[in-house]
This record gives sequence, C-alpha cells and structure tokens, in this order.
Amino acid sequence: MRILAVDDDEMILELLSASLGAAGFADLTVASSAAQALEQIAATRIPFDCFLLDIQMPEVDGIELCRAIRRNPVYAAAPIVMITAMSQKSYIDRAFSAGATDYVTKPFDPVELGARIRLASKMVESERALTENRSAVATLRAQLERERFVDLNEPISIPDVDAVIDLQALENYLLQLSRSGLFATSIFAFKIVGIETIYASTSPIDFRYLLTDVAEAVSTALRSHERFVSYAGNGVYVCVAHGRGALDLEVIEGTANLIVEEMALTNSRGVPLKFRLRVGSPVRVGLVRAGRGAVDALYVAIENAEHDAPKVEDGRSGEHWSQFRLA
Amino acid sequence: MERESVPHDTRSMIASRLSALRIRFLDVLETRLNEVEALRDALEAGGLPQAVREDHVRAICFAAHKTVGVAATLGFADLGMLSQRVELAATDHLEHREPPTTPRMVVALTDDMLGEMALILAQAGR
Repeated sequence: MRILAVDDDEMILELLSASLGAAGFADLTVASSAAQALEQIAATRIPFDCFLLDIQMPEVDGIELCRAIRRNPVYAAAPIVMITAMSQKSYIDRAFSAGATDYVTKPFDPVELGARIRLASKMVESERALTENRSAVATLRAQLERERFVDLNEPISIPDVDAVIDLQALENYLLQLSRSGLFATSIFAFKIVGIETIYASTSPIDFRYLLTDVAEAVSTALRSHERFVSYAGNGVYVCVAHGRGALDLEVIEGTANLIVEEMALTNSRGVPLKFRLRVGSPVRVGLVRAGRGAVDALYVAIENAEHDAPKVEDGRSGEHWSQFRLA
Repeated sequence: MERESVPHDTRSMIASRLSALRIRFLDVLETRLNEVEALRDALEAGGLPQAVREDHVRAICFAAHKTVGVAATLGFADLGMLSQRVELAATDHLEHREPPTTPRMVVALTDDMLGEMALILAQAGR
C-alpha cells in the first residue's frame, strides 16, 4: 500500500516511518508541507492508496489539504487519516467535514497506528476488488447498473451533500469525541416509510438518486445545528447534532418532509415518488457515553427509527408540511 | 478500536526503531530547552511590547506543541503531559479565552516543562 504522510515536524515523519515500516507498510512517501504533498500527488504515476495528514502546519493546514485531496476524483474514496495533537472538537468536526475517514491523536501508539492503517488497507483492497469486478462486466449498460446497484441494507456512500459522511466515518468521529465534546449531543435517525416497496419498484440508479435527495433534505432540515448525517441502509439516515437545549424533532421531521415534498421527486420515467420520513426516538448522549458507548448510541438510534416507523404509509401521507417551511 | 494481537517481532522491531529515534529526540530536546529558556527569561523580565510578548508566547506554544506530538510515544509521558499544559495555557492566552491566562501563568507552566526536559537530559548523561 502506497502511503503519503504529511507533517512539518521531521521527528514525526521519522516516527511514522519507523512505526509503519515495522508494521509492514514500508512504501511510505513523506512531505513536510501541504504544497510539497500536492506536488508529489501531481507528479506520481502510481496513485497513493492512503494519506496521513497533520492538521497544524504553516500556510496550508492539513484540513485544507484533506479537502484538496478529496477534490481529486482519483482520491474521492481514498482513506485519509488525520494525525494531530489537536484534540479539540472543532478540529475533529472540521476534519471529518473536509472528508477525513479517521483521526489519530498524538502522541500515538505505534502499534495502534499500524492497526488503523491495516483497517484503511482493507478499505483500499475491497475498493480495488470492486473495481476489478466492474471491468469484467460485458456491456456498458450492465456495467452502469452494476456500479449503481444498491443493496437495500447497504450503508452506501452519499457524496457531495453538505454534512453527509459515510457511516464508518461517523463512527470514527464519535469515537474521537471527548466526554465534553459529546455534551449536548443528540443522536437520532430518520426512516423512509415503505422503503421496501420503493426499493422493489425503482431501478438501482433511481434508488440511489432518491437516497441522495433525501440525504440533502435531512441535512438541510438540520442546517441550523452543527450536525453530521450518514445513510445507514434500509432507508435509515442517522444524525448526530450538537446544541444546547432539546432539539424539536417534530419540527425537524416536518421540515425534512416539506423539503422532500417540494423536491417533487420522480423516477427516470417521470412517475412521482411519494413517501414520507419518520423520525425515531432520540438518544441523548450526555456526559457518560464517550468512546464505544457513543457508537452504541448510534445503533440504538437506528433501531429506534426502524422500530418507530410504520412498515407502510399509515394515512399521514397527505399531511400538510407547509407550517415547517424554513425561514 | 479493539486491540488485535501484534506479533512479538513487530513489537520488538518498533521498540528498536523508537530507541534509535529517542537519541535523536534528546538532541532536539537539548536545543529546544535552550531556546524556550531564553524566551521564558525574556517574558519573565517583562518590559516587552505586547506584540513581542505575544510572539514569545506563540514560540513557546509551538515548541510545546512539537514536544506533545512525540514525547509520550518515545517514552517520555510526563514531558508530554507538561508540554500539553503549556500549549493549552499559551493558546488560552493568545486567544484571550476566559478566565484570562496571564504570561506569568504560562511562564510557571513552562518552568515545569523545562524542569522535566532538564531531568531527562541529565538522566541521559547530557
């Protein structure tokens, strides 16, 4: 696996080289600034498989560099691990917003770092296997359908929607938040009512578009809060929102439904797609659930949404959402 | 993240590479101690214009930040902790956070960090 590590501290680069070399990742390129990293990315003939970025660097910081790397289509899905002494929540938030997939706080344990990179390596391998499978598909149409195929239960990536990140990245984000960072954090999930029926009656491409549109509606409904949203599969979107005071989930649910209604979604044949979103009971994380407990709360919220939503439309589909219009 | 079992030879390879780096770190620490001590003395003497005073605090903060990043990984956990305190206090001072952190408080914490640096260097026979 080809790794590019970027840090302005020579000692850290040497530490990374020693730790990763011993863990079996010897193909390490280093850069001491964002500018140098971007030059190396532009010059390389074989793309890098993984990036390790320091946050606090002079001129262009690691978060901006992360954003720049993500803009390159070659690296749209590459693992980007932030390695930094910054443990404040605002830095963690900004890093994940910029597209980071994981976050390691300095001082790091070399053994744990190796394990994290191995996890990233597995992501690269499965992506590579998927790419090889795709090339075997006989016709362009079949290839397109295959690329776009979505298993109903799969927590797929939804790119280019503000504050929407992968479920794995959301887990990593929660694992990194300290107890105080989790204070006043609510976790809850939306479910598309009747998702099984919609899934059975739409093409994979239409289904993927629908998931993206709904992600946009959910993220927009929460836009007055610091938040992250992930698609968890089976029509469920799990949300992590920060803010003092209780969230008014009824209003947020109404707003999301209004946005969906105003999108007037149709499938590629022009047939309207009618459905609504239901929010499940929230899980308030509070001060006692840092680390794995916060991730467990994520799955409790998903279960709540699954449990609370009716399996099919229950007659509220004609509900009037205009009272929830955003200012 | 769950701990996975790590082969013994990987652990010993890491330990041996870190031990080589530890010697390099002591060289860095020697230079850093002298630089930070000069900044600290200038701060304590007082009479500096505000902009210069802030530059000194910023330079101490940067040195502490660099130390936090590697000290504990190389086996100097106490130094890592003391450096982190300096970094946090200096950041609070530079960003005018409440309650106010004065340069005197930064100097006091810097003294603890410098003391630990001196102890490490003395134990290493330097």
